[in-house]
Amino acid sequence: MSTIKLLSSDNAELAVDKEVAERSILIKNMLEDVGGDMSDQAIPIPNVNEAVLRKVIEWCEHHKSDPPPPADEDSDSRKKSTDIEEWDQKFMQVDQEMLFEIILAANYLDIKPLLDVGCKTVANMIKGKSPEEIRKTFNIQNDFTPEEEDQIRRENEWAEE
Amino acid sequence: MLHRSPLLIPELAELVFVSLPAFELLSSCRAVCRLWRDVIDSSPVVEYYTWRSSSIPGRLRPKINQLNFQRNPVIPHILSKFWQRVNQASSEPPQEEITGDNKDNKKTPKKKAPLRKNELSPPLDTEALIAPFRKICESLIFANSDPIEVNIKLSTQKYASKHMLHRHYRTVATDYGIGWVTDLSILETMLEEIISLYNEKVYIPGKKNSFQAEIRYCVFLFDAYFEPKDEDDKPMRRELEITERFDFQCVEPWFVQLVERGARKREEEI
Repeated sequence: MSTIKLLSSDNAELAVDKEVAERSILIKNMLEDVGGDMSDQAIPIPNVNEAVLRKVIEWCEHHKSDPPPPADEDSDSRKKSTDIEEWDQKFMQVDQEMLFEIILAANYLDIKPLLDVGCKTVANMIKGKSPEEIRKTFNIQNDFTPEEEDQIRRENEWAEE
Repeated sequence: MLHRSPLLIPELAELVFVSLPAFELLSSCRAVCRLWRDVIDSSPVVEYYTWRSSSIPGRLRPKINQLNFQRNPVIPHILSKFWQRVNQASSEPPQEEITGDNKDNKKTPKKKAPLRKNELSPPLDTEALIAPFRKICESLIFANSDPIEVNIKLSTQKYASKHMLHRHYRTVATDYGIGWVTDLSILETMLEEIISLYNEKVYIPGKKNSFQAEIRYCVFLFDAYFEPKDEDDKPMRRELEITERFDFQCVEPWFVQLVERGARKREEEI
């Protein structure tokens, strides 16, 4: 099995099985473009630091033989569930900064299933919370003007207790 | 270093939002910050997931069959919230009661508001109660396959100690033959009807009383188990009549729950 090297933003070189690295569509396309032979040169991943890159590789390793997701255009995607498989749940038990970094890395590296798991994890953290609790949890600034806030309050009146 | 938050990047926030229940997106999430409000209000994808549109532009519209058919899941939330409002409004102590020094006046009634029956309370202001619900009703679709008609039967029963005093029915329906039911204005009409039932003293809160809404609608669905016999064999849509019965709790906590759901084919009637 061929191995390739990835270079993190903080200049750490990580060796990865090609098959594992190809869970990233970005890397896969890159390898295809250069004809597959990158054995002697590290691929720079400028947006991802070592700790995050290791975590992402760990996920890719575990999911390397996953079948491609079904492209079921026919089913109504509104039924999408927020269920996360057990291994992924454990994998995502990290602090918020790491969780966010994983999501950003998955987005940059184009690893759709990892991005989905990350976003679902965040969604589960939002569920059932009030706007103020959400702001607190994720350190989001309330940037509404008093007028806008007033309008939102009126529009939300139907949903209030 | 401040970490970059995917929740403040519209494309990623959108991805998070589609995993959240429509009800929460339309209420609490919209109130978090400008960026969230703008994404929820303007993203076609979020619009679709929150039941404000029936398809995502540029994407194939899913074929709705008996397995993936869904009535808008926000409807029970709207009913529950409204029901809470109606019953709370009716149990609020009258405004004119002055909360001053009533130490000297022992006859001033203490707060016992929740026990008040609506026989004593003034009529509810229909417009004031409905107004907050108009916008949401007008912006939402009824189901992922538009019904051709919707029929709602409200029934209320009032009991004395042992026997039923009276039972009452009231019906609201969309006009037959006007086309697909694409919004929830029928629900608005139903809410108005609930208030008039209250104001006419037909509905009275109480442990032994009951209030139900039977929502019946006809949709055209594909067959999930369809297998083409030859190349020209295309799936046909069949008319299906769906009946859902919601029970309105007539005592605190005022909630509404789906108690029964049934579907039957209507072929023989056509």
